Amino acid sequence: MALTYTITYTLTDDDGDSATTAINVPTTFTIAQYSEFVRAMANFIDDIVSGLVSGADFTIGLNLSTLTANTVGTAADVEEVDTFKFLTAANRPVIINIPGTTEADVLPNSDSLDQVDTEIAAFITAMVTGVSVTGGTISPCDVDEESITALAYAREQFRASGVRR
Amino acid sequence: MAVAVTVRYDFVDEKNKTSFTKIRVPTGFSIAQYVEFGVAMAQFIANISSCTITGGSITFGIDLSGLGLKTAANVLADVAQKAYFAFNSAVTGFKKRLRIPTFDEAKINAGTDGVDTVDTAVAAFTTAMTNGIVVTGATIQPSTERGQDLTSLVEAREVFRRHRG
Repeated sequence: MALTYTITYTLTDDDGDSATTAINVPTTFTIAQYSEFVRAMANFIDDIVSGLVSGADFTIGLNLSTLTANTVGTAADVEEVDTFKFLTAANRPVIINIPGTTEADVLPNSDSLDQVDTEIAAFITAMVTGVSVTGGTISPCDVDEESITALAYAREQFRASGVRR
Repeated sequence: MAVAVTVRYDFVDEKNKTSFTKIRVPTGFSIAQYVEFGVAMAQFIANISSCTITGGSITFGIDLSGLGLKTAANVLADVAQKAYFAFNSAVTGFKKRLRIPTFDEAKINAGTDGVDTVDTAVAAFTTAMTNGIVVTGATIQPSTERGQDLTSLVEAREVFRRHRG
């Protein structure tokens, strides 16, 4: 379980450079209460800086200890990605790249992912129709909150996106 | 315009390279519901990725409009110029340290690198950090990363850091 949530403020100077600062808060409040806090603290910070408070967000960590099958496979590579292009009702594209393609999920003589594979199909369904949670259903959307309604394609791609640690 | 909530998952592959993916979901749900979604979606993703999911988080953007914050950075504001604040917590030895970028030079005591902690705006900030901020129905008190309440200011001084880019 997360011990605290993190509030991050982004500040921008007159060169256009930006930097962040973070404040931790307990986990027992509502989104509305955190929003009030973040806005009030933004005022206090604005009064002591010469830069611009250009953004604020708060982040909660997820406890993923209950996941199953969450193990690294042989030859797993983050640069080999499952690329899903979804569409909203207004045909806005929403592209999701899942690192670590499972080769068995790629159709022979093709770069297409096998959409009838049980696990690929389950992911696509969750993205298009949403995930049931207590008291509602949360459906993935684009940045403007327009719900995803369809899959345009699902294919394997390769990207130089990995970061060595 | 409502801005969607961002769910992020981090991955590591067999070569120890890391990457991430993001899924956006609408506003309007509770933290518990978002957490339920985040864990359920993580399982769908774990089932199709050959990488290990090493972490997940949910980030809520906060609307700062209407607060009367500065609308532009002051001339010569610089993100590399920061104020370092250290706060004691309720547990001895556990401190919260943060650096505020673009700190206002006028709030540094002359001939020193010490922040003028009796300045009205600085005092308001440090009081908010140690006493918390009153929100509807509660007071949210900043804490250390481990959740211990902040109790007093230990140190406040000007520091300089390198630009990120």
